Amino acid sequence: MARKRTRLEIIRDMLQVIKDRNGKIKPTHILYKSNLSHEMMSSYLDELIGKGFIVEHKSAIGKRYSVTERGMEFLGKYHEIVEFTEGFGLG
Amino acid sequence: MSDLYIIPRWFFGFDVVLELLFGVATLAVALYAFRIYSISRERQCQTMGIGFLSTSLAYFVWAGVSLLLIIENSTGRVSLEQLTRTGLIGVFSYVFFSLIGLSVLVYMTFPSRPKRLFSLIGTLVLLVLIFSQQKSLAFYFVSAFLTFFVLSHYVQKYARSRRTTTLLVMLGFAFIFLGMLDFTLASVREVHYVIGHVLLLIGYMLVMASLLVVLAPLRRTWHAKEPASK
Repeated sequence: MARKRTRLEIIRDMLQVIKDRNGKIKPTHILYKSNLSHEMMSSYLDELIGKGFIVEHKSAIGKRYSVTERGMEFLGKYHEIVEFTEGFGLG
Repeated sequence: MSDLYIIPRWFFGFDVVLELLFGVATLAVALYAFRIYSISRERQCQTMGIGFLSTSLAYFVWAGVSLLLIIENSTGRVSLEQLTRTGLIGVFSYVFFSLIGLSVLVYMTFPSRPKRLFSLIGTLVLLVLIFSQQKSLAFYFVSAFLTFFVLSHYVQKYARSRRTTTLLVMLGFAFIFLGMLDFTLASVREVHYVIGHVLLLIGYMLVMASLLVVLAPLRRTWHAKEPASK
């Protein structure tokens, strides 16, 4: 059985999913690709917006999400973040 | 008159250098924690940064007090009654920043961190110090207790992850804990002041080593990205 993902892994996976369809991804696509419940996904989306990693675009056809520069930086430096946080017992 | 600690005359100067080293080591960890926070926005990284920064400040202040003792040609027996006003401010600042730093690190180890929890830890610690008769003993015992709490957190983390970096941090805090315990005897025998410094040195060097292990793969990546010289 696959082990449970850590918080940082979930954030990385969600950012990666959004980045792959940058500016075009709907919440339902994120839900399918991220392997989370609707409640968890909403919670993480709020967190990602709060941290400035993604922005929400509201239009007549519904909500879309795109990754910001800060979100791209997180993805680029993900290994560095994990090395430090796990090494120093955080999270 | 109760002594805070007794410094062997031959150790004057060495203690300043060591305390500055402790300050630099903890400052390095603090700065890196803030860097990771700036990228990840993980609050725990910020909290750790604040804890180590406060501890770093404490050590720089302690180094200043030690230097002041050399300048004032101290006999080596350091007590609150003998200290000048500057020395007193230095000692109390060291105690304050040190305990705040340790309290923040203890707070950081909790999975859920309501602000009231930090208030509880900080207030309890300060109350113990304010109302104790033997303040230096109380300070070192409280510091050792808080350090032990952080150490137990790293023992649990290492038991689960088996990471080299976590092992180094765990061993580092083990030596820091032993150093704090040893300082409880520094007002009785001068050798314990030296042993305490040596234990802290080993502890902080292990924590620094952990940081270097984290940075090592990044340095390889940076070197790989550098353009060829020819």
